[in-house]
Amino acid sequence: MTGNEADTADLAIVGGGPAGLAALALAADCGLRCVLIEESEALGGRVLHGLEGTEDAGRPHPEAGWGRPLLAQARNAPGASILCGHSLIDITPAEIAPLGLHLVRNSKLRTCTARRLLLATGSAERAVAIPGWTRPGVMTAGGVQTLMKGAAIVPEGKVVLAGTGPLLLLLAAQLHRAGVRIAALLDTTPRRHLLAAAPLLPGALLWGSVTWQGLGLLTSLRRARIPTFRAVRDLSVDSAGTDTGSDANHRVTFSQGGRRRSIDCALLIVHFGVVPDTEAARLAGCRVHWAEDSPGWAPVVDRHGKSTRTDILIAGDAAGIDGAEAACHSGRIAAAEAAVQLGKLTSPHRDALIAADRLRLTRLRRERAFLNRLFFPPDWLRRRPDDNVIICRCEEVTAGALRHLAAAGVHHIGRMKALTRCGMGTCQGRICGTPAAEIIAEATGLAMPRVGALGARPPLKPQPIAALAAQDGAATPPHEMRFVYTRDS
Amino acid sequence: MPTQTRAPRFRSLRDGQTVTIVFEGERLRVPAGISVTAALLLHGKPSGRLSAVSTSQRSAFCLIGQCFECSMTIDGVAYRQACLTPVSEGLEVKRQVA
Repeated sequence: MTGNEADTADLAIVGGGPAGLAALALAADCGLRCVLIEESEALGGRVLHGLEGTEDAGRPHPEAGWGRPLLAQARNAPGASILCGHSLIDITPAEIAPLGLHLVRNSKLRTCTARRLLLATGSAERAVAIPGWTRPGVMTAGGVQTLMKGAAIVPEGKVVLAGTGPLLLLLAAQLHRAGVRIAALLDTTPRRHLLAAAPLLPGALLWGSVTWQGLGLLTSLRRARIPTFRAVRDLSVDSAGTDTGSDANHRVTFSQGGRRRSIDCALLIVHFGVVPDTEAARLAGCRVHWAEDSPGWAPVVDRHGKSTRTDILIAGDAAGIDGAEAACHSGRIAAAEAAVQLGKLTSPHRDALIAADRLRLTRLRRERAFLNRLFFPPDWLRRRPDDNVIICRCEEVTAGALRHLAAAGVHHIGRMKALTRCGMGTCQGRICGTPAAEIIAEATGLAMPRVGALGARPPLKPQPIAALAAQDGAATPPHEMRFVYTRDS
Repeated sequence: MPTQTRAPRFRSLRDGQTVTIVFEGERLRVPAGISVTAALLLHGKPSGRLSAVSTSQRSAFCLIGQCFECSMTIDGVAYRQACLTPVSEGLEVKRQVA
């Protein structure tokens, strides 16, 4: 397929993870001309990262069993264009022309248009600010797993894993198998969550798969004799005071059962669950709501995957965290809805086509309810960091600065941003937006929707001006483009 | 100059083709096909910006293009996300204030 055909599509899909891949396969089968846009150099998203192109590398990928057929299906989808290594920087509305998607690759701008847009941008790790989390020796569990799957590299020195959620256990087991020395696993899940989640356990065991996997992981971690501390609180990381000659120059401090403990390590790996990546949805003006059961912003979507914008659908974890298997089903459901909207399917045909997906999704969500309750990140972690803890990593705005202004009457996150620069750095509030809003909510007693979510503005990623000036083909410049200037270092 | 904080060192689980990149004038042999961040971590180098506020050394945190801690000047283009940029022969990587 030529580049020109990619530039005008029936359906544009953003994100090449399970939701996007499954959506692409079904939409192409329905006769839609699709373009799939993926920021990484290969397809797969977070879960299937590193699977494509490693067939002969001789290293097993944990998700190869279902991942390879899914990737092959998407790669062979009739009439589809796949654009890897393209960052979405703006979406222009479809009032007059079709939706415009503005992409950058290697500092070159490219624009394609589509009649419908499906956002399958997946999830990002929930940002939880702990003292010392800006040190170079702190990384997220998803990040370490990405390095392992994509680059086949693992930490050399001793590591400590801290936080809560299925991914933390999975990564601990994977690192152990790869020969990484795990000094400790610090589980912040409060004991009372086990009781609270217990009534939902039978449904999870009956219908789910993650829970069984988790039980297996717990057994293997116990066999591996990894020092595990449960119901950990007051987590922080600082210098161990031995910056030379030791591979354990970070000191992790925590309390457990009323005792303070410290463990030195080369790398602290943190994980507190995942939240939908809503940047593109908010940029496009799709409404978001505050999800109480798994604290975070999630787009408002109906059972067909329709957002509050008629021409935009959202599927997979980007629409609400349900996991990778569910993402395949919600991807297909949203793709079928796009096919109905574009006249390729009738509603009864759609319902027959995706009946099995709906059933499985309903069942998987019963397991998700159990996981959400068990791994609910406690308020003290999210809402009550000490005053001196940096919340905005880019602009180094502390929790104390936010509380000070909140007490003085600054209650909206947008106003807080203007006054403190919190969320104004290069990450544009992707990391700090929610933690900062939660601190304001805690300090003022306001509900999260009143404090608000930060706006998302183009370009979604900083670009050199030259990239925006030098366009491929006869594209129109993104409207109302607001530049993030780059400077020479 | 900011204090040089070491980054956590990683090791590779496989052998294969390598390329050479240039980090702050130093030539580093790294596996082909991996990201700039992965390449720097293999050599124990920080893959990240110098904070424009405190000049402290940062290193890649999220590895999925969200946190921008890995902002670096790559082949002369500032603010490139090293975790999303693949290595290639002769690629020039520099730290920057961001």
